[in-house]
Amino acid sequence: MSSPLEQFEIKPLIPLEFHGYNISFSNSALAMTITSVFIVILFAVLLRKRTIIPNLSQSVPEALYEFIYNLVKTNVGKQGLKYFSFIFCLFLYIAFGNLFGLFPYSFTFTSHIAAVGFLSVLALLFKICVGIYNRKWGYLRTFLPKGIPYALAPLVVPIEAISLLSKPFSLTVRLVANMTVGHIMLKILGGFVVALGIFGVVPLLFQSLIIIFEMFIAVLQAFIYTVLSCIYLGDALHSH
Amino acid sequence: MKKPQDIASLDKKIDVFKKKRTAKQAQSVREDSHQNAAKGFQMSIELIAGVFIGFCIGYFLDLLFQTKPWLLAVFTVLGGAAGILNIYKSSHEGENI
Repeated sequence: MSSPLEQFEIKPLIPLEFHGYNISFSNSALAMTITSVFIVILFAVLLRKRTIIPNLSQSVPEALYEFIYNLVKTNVGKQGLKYFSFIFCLFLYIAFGNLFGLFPYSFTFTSHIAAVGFLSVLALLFKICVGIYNRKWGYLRTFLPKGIPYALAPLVVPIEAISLLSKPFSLTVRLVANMTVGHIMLKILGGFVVALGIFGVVPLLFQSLIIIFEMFIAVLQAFIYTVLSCIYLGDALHSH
Repeated sequence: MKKPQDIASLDKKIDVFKKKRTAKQAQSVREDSHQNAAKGFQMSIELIAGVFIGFCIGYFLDLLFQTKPWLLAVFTVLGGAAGILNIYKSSHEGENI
């Protein structure tokens, strides 16, 4: 029986090297490419006939769009709608990446800290840029909230800075932990199905339920990731 | 003479209502406990994230300035404080959703 962690192994498909760095096209990169291309093709196909009164295929992406639009509006505010495209891409990429990982023989790139961590760091850089662009020097107030005496600044500033930097880490760990745990559980249950022979029907039934639950978790975690990065972004726009 | 009968029927009615209410309360407590478990998990991550990032900053600053254990110790403690600040902030985040 193979190890339940084997599914998370990154294997180079096309070995490449650039100035001593390993930049091979791996199975993780393949999964990301397939997810991105799939999203683009899906939206292009569903939106090929654009009418004012949407038909069935057009209403699906429109509903998704409006859902995330309202999310940004309530969590970031009206001025946050400028950054809607970033949030929408983030949501689609993570949601479809999670769902793609549930197919047999596929690869869950959202279970890797490197992949999700990059998105979180991107959100952090985006937040800092947006904050500085909108509030100029006032953005430095983030590190020393109003009402705190200047004598305490040497203590408060590092704490606020660490708090700012640790948020992407906690965002990443939540998504990665949820994805990894779900896939390990599916693998172990799958091992039971094979090992128990005819009695394997019982874990098989249980596993079918778990798969449905995992689909729910895949979308829910993408949603939570999006909401939290919205709130995170919103902090940069509003002064406290 | 009617009184004792009335009280008995009233007692029965009260019992029925009480049973209904406890069943409802138990259900809502069960639903709350799921949400609270998710929130608790989130907060534990927030705390660990603060300590971890503080530790990393301290470690790399030590390598930079060659002041081996000192900055590591200071920034790990500051990271713990940042973790608690994170928990405080995230406990308020939930109110908007």
